Amino acid sequence: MNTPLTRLMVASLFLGVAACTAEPEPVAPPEVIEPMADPQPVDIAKEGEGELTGHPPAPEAPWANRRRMDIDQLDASMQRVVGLAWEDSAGRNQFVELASTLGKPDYIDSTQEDLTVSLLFQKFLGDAARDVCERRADGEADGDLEPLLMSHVTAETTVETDAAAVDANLAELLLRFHGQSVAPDSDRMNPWRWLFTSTVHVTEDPVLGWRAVCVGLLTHPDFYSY
Amino acid sequence: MAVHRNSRRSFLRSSLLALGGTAGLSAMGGLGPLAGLARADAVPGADRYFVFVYFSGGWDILLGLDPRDPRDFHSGNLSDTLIQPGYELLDDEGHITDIISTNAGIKFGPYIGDIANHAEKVAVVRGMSMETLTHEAGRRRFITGKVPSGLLARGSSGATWLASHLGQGELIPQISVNVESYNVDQPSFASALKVSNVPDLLRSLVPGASGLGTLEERQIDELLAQAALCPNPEDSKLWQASEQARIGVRNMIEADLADYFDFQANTPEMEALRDHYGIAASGSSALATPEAQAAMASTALKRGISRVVSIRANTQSLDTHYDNWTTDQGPIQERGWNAISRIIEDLESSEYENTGESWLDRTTIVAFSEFSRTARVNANTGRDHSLTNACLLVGGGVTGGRVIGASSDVGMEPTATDLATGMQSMDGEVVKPEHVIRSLMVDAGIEDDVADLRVEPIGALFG
Repeated sequence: MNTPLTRLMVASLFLGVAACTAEPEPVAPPEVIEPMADPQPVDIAKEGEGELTGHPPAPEAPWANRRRMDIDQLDASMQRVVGLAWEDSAGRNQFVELASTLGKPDYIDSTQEDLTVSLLFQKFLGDAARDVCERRADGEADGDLEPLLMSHVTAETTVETDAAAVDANLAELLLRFHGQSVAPDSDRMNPWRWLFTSTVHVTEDPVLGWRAVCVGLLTHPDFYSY
Repeated sequence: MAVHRNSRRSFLRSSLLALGGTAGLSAMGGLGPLAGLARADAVPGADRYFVFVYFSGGWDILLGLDPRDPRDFHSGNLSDTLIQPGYELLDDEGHITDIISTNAGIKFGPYIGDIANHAEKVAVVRGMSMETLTHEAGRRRFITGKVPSGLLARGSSGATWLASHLGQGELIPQISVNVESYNVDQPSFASALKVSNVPDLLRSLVPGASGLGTLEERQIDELLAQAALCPNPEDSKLWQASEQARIGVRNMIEADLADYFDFQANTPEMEALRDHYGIAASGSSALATPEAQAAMASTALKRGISRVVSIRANTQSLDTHYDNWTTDQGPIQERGWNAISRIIEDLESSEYENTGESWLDRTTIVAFSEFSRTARVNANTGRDHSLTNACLLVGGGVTGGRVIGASSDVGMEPTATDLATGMQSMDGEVVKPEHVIRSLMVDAGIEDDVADLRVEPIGALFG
């Protein structure tokens, strides 16, 4: 019964429990509705001394709707974070090739970029993530690229051989990809540790584990929205 | 022909088939009552499909949908009529330069192409007012049925309303190739899969090179799905839309639809399709054409992949202010009309789900542009923008061989129309894009004005 699928299912149960045990992000405080003061007569003769409002307006909650990066931002962010651009075999940037389909304005028919998280955005984000993560992980494993995805670990390191190094590497990747400073022992690390560990369980290849983590980080809304 | 659907309808059908067996089916005469049972949960108008065809740049309706006879409108009375057909100015050697009279009684301009052969099936709405001379505003007005705020579209597209109403039975309820589509208040599933051409659609349907195995992919899926269930993401509209799109992509790729749109494949089926639509067998540019988009539209419907498809009829703009009007306007328009004709013929020759009726009986095709061009030729031998417009509808419940409304014989101005009879009437109202959108929605079973279009449907359009 110790098939990869069984292991995945067991691991999934673990994830289900662990994924939301993250430290909660700050949420908008509930709106405080102050009772309105009774109207007060204002002596207009005393210019500058009248109280025009009973209470100052309540400060606005520090809250904004999430927005998706535009395609240029996404392309630049991916290059910055992974160190590689999404390119085809001829070296053509695919975000440029697919600009129109991905909703970039051409300033002839359209002047505004479509920033919805559409099917196509998800499809090509996934393609881009898989492409750059594969090249990054393989390049580092082969020694062709400087360590970035595996800066605290080697191509053989697993949780069993050096758990602290794996956690340190995950913490650095979360900071690099999502801008989140997470302590290695934080619950917020659990889903990512699970992804790495379960992938290594299934493939017996830590490099594939880091590649999966890389794809997960790039396709996670914390990467492409703000 | 393999048909892809997600629907409860399919599930019900297969369950009922399993219970009743095929003997019951033949006794009942095909799907008959079974189909009714299987569609018990279906919405009104559940058998409707839609194709929107956009002519970009502003078409010259004198050359197509709203012509004038040059014997009646000529230089001798131009100062009275303010209408100049200008057919003799067109630089297209060998092409007819006269109006085309059809058996159905509808008259077309010289560049209506093969639509003239389908006149008995089409309805033409004339004398419409776009109330704008701005490309973006006109386009968005027709797409949404609402006056834009400046240039910003207000409300969801008519296509999105229809896709939303018709449900998520199809894998990709709405596809839009190079046509804007908006969804501000409808469920995510109704949003269009928007691509700029057929090759990009094809590319979106195949998995990208990954190098990761199925199990690793499922683990990434699992992590992202769990993340979306957490409290903050649950409250985020963007996050939830993102999650739905991610699941949609997975389903779309697993359905293995790409082969249906690989129009240059070396198979007898694709060869026949290329012959019919006029698509070259090689070269990627052949798939970025109106013909390829037309083939995509009918394929998406007939394969059960989509309910509503929008395509663009022209790759070169119709915005002909200069002497390019004499060389380009007619041929570009004609090519678009011919592409629509190919869709009509394709759908008409394909039986709809063993009903004895054709796909064209279930599919309404709407051809539109953001506005038309001035009735008089300008000093540059071109035509500028005119707010008077027309559109064409064919198939579905559309009453064929009918002209609704008319532009005036002086200056081609919009005129009032009796919506019930389709005749010009001083007591009627000037038809606008929202009338057309409302009519389509009513035909699809949406009786109430849920899109807040604030107009009545054009009763004369549908039988």
